[in-house]
Amino acid sequence: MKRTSNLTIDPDIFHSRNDRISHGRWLNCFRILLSPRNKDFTGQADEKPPLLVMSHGGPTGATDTTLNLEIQYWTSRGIAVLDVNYGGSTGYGRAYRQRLNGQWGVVDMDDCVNGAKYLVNRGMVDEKRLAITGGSAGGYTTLCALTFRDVFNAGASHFGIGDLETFVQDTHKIRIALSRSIGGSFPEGKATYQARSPIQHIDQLSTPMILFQGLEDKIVPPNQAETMFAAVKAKGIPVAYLPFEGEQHGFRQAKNIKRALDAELYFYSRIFGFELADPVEPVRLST
Amino acid sequence: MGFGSSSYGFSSKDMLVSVYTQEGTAHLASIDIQHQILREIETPYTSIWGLRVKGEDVYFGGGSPVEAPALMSSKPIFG
Repeated sequence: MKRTSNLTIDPDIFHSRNDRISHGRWLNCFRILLSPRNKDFTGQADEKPPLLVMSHGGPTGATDTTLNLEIQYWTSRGIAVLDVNYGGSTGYGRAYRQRLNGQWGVVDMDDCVNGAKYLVNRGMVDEKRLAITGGSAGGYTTLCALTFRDVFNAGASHFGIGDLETFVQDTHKIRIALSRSIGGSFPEGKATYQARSPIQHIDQLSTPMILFQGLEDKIVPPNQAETMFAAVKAKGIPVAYLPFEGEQHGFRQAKNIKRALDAELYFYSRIFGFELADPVEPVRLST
Repeated sequence: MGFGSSSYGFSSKDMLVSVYTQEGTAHLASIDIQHQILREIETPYTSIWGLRVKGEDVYFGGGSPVEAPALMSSKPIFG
């Protein structure tokens, strides 16, 4: 077999083939767990690692099993990653994919929440340092988990949806797909859209968050992040908002991808109270 | 998946090469159409996409947790 890339990875930093990369089904959900790894650092014996739960976009896509340097960014910095293929993800059969029908904002959220709780109950991660992150639909799942469940201590939404009601009115092209995921069309099912919109339940939110947004995003427009930021800030919860000029739905420019990753790490270091090994440009937290 | 997605192709009139995904892991297989026999084509990859077949040559994108995504060409032994 011939391949176009002979890129090799450093097994002292990145996970190698012999590592236990857990890809399994627990609590009726498929998840991939990657533990922290870096040859230059060892966690303290009496300290469990922070956990970052990743929620993919779609919502009916799936997280990829190929080498993902974004995940390795976190594991090489001492943070365990749980990459969740929540109910509705493709690649596990029709019945599994259909678990999300009419349940978007519920099944995805609880599969992420239950994954974190499972690892806490097994003593594998620090229950006081649990974070959730995701882009697009994964950003929506993140905001739902932070608002409707009391498990995570921090979260990052990358161009996520905070208000389904305004989103469905701004985004005409995917209304049919949206109605299938939510379980009703708009405005007939307005009550469900409201019930599953984090910003409409801001009274339930008490968790710090960081928001990333491309200012040219036509899929999830900037008003989603902007209104979420304003609402969280008004409540006095630590929050940061990083808008990116020239970016659309998913960042493309290397400097912005790097900035977003570093800013998210900086945010967790502030919320969880750990020192960064390398200097990172600070992020302004509003409270 | 975008435009031009492909998960199978014919290597001959009696032989199909296909990608399927089970429990989140991709598999490459040949299918003897006449005898309805599926044979796994072993690869080290957990993700396979964009399959193209031309005679005995098979082309696809592939990657695994320890190998970055790349384009592959292979000449599997059918039968």
